[in-house]
Amino acid sequence: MQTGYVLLATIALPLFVAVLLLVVPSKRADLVRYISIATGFALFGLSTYAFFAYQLATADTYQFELQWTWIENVGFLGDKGITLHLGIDGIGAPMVLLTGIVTFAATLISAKIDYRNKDYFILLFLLVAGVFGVFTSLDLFFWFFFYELAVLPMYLLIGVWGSSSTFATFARTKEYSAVKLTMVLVGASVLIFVGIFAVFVEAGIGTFDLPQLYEVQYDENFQKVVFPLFLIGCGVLAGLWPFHTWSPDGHVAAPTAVSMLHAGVLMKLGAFGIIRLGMQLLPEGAEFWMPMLMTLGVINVVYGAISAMAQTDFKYMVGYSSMSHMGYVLMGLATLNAVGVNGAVLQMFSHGVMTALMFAMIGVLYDQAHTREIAAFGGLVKRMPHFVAFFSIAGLASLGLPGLSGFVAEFNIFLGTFQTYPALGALGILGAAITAVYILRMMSQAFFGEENEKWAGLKDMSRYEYAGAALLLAFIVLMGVFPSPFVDRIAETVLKIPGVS
Amino acid sequence: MLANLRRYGIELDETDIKRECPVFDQVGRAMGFPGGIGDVIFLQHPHAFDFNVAVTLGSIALVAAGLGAGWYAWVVRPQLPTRIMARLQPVHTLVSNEYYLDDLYQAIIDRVILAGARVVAWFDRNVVNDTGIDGAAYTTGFAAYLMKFQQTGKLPNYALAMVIGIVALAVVAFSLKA
Repeated sequence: MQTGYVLLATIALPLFVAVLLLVVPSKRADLVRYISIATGFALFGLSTYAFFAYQLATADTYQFELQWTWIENVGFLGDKGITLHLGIDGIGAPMVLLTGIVTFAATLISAKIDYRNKDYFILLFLLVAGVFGVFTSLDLFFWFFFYELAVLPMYLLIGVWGSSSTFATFARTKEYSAVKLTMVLVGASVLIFVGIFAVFVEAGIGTFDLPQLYEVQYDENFQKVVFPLFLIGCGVLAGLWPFHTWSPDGHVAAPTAVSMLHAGVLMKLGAFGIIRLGMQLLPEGAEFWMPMLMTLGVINVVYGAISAMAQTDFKYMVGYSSMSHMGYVLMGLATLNAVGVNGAVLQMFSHGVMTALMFAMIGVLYDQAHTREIAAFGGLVKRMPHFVAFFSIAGLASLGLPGLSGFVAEFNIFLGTFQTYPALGALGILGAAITAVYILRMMSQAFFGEENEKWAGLKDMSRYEYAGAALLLAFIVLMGVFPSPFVDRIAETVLKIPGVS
Repeated sequence: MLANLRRYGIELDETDIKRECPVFDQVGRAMGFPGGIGDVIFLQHPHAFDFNVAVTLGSIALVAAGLGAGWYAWVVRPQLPTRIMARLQPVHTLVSNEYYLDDLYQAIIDRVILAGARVVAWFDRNVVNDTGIDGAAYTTGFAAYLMKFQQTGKLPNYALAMVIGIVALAVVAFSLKA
């Protein structure tokens, strides 16, 4: 049974729980914890249901549709001017599933938060509601509303629950990182805002409803002018070079679960926006600008990987690694062929679960050791075998080991890239090789080799951490060995995007 | 994966192996590959299996010669290796260090790759972030600092600024309409 109420629930439930938590006494920290984990589980259930109940080979472009009119026939708005229009296609479905998985894992990992955990979970659920909203909205107004809702709680989550760090040659306060992250993302969203109104006026049909706006044939010059607004505006959230520095610094300052959501789902909103707003609305603009996106994507991949190699801090390393992996997504989108775009969406999912697992594991280590310097550790496998196993598998997925999710995604992306830009595809593969260098170096330095006696007191993962990590790991392996449920949904929709060959 | 490729219209040549190796093909089918092993292995130009007698006998003879030389050097005349080692000292050093290939790799990683990576990371932190991103923020702050001196409290100046602004907007509006 398909009903739009499922998608509505993914947005309404976290909002409702955010309000519910307001009336829970903050002294009852355990109650807050249980409510939050139960909500995370419910969101995971809802999104899993939405993913698996999504029908293949139907005539409907969007499923689980629901449309409630909010404002219509006022001023410049016509029939169904602004509506709460929800629905998912084959790209939205895996993204909703990803959000459910990462959210549930993040609530489990956040069980160890003691300081003002009620306020923390309220902000976390506001953020999650925004993310679900972006992935399911088919109305430009609500799309943008949820986009902002997903970004703003990050400011407080990092500023209050984050940590400041001092390194040998520089220091980063959590306030600096929180302000930079918010300013860069809000600044970029101004471009999207301008683009949305440009499209609204140019279409001249008085509605913000996306499926209706997709039907309009826009002037070619208009498309070429407006597409970069969406490309840069959304691209910044996807970590597009040279507007990426908010991301690694944000990770270093953010608490564990916020890093998981930041790299796991938030950066995917940007890539999703490039598809939803850029490629689907303005296909001719996309065709004109894609060589530039391909170039920037390759820069992201290689530059991010090289930067990651020089990092001495776990979180900086994984932060730059995320930038590098989002570069593969941008490359895949820029191919504008079905294999490449399919690979890009697969990579969005794959990177989401894998990087969330890496950040979760960094949290396990940091909360005990209070340092994230890779060289400070050694031989961790003796004290924390399960931790090392989970972290290593995430790392191997990151470098594209067959049998894990990263391989499936990157294989498709390279296949697509070699059909359109063979030389840049070769550079992309170089990036994958560099990824192997920094992941394996990190593992050999911190996990294996001589045991550092200083860390003899470290304990392995707690039950909550174990549960969250196992959930993420299950989907890394599932996608690695059985990608069909994902490919079937994505490929069908990708072929319907105008301009994708 | 390959079934997916076909869905995108990428044609792969799979008939050859099915024709050449029908038994393997059935094995593949039994293992659960629906298209048989031909779905997994592709040969563009298959050759019939060719047994080259000269190559086979030659390589067996080489193996035998190696075994014989080893037996002679270590069992029949065990003092021989020490003598050869003494005479060919530089060669022995080279060989026992595996031609220094490991040291070469290590040096390239340490001196070239990691040093280059540190340059990129420095560039990212100091140029892209501290100059580019933070610089944009400081420029905004500095512009605000300069503009605050326009906040004089002298009403005629405010009025003048408003008039100039209105005229400028009107000029823009009319020129766009024309």
